[in-house]
Amino acid sequence: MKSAVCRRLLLSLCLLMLVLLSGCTVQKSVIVLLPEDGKVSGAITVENAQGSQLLNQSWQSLEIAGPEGRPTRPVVLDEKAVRDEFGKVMAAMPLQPAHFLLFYKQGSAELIPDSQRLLPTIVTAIKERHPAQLSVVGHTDTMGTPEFNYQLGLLRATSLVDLLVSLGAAPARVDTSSRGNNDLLVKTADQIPEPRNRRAEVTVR
Amino acid sequence: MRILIMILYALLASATIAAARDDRPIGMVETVSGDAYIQRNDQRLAAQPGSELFLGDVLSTGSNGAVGVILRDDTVLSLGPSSETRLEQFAFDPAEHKLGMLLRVTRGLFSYVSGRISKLSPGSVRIETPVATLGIRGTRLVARIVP
Repeated sequence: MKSAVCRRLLLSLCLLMLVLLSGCTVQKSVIVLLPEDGKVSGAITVENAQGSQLLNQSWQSLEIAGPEGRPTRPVVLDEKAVRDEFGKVMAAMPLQPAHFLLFYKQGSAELIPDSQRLLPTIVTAIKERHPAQLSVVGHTDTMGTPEFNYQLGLLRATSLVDLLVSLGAAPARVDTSSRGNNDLLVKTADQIPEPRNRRAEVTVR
Repeated sequence: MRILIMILYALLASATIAAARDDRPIGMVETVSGDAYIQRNDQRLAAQPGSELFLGDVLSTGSNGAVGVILRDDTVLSLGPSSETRLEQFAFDPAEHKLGMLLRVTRGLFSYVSGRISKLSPGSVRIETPVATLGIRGTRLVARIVP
């Protein structure tokens, strides 16, 4: 009889230990720095009242056991272990935004041939994303008046959207704007026909 | 007196324009699996691909959920199951040199890739969590936050 009670007590004690132990492992927060195209992507400082650490190597990681925990010394983790633990959240990451720079003939909303050849790539980038957000910012060189250039920049942006749609792109959201000659890629004096400034910046998200 | 009234009108009008500009969406939901929500003021909306996101929105997921979003500065963010993050501050106006972002991750799994705010103004992006503050310098990360 006495031994049965003892055994039951021991069992509950074991269970309690198990709960506490698993509690300990679950309680920890983890932060991992990921590489970008195989290279170190930057740095993260991790700081709380107990201390501060720097992550600046790919797959480097640290743990924190609750708000009262001190950020642990960083260790480099195995890539597979990170992918196993964070697979679902990594799979939910949308495709990275794609950027394109297109150039125009002087005083016109007509693309130069090299830029025209980029259009199918942009259409593909739009089709790969559901829903796709297309943003086009039109720019001009410093020829003509600022008012004319604002309108020309806007025409470049809107006509490019029309062109992409005519090629089969169906973005869910479109945002066109003009910077006129206020945001030169190559700084020039006024009334200078600079080909690199006659451009549209395209972002597909 | 008339001039004063006109000035007041002009001030009011410009204030309205400024407010309207701040009301623009700051991003969009791109991927959803399982249960995912956007809490906006007193409303809880089901997050769907194409849902617009506004400053102050709280993204959350159920125990089977995940959600991925892109913000206007190209920041890419995703949440795993049983997770919650608030889009607390977002300023992306390079022409006016207004750049900054604060994400408040209250719990769960998240993945983050820096956008242009971080590239143009390193040090102006922070992720606050109940266990620590993360200062971001142009980077990619995954994390599990257990409050």
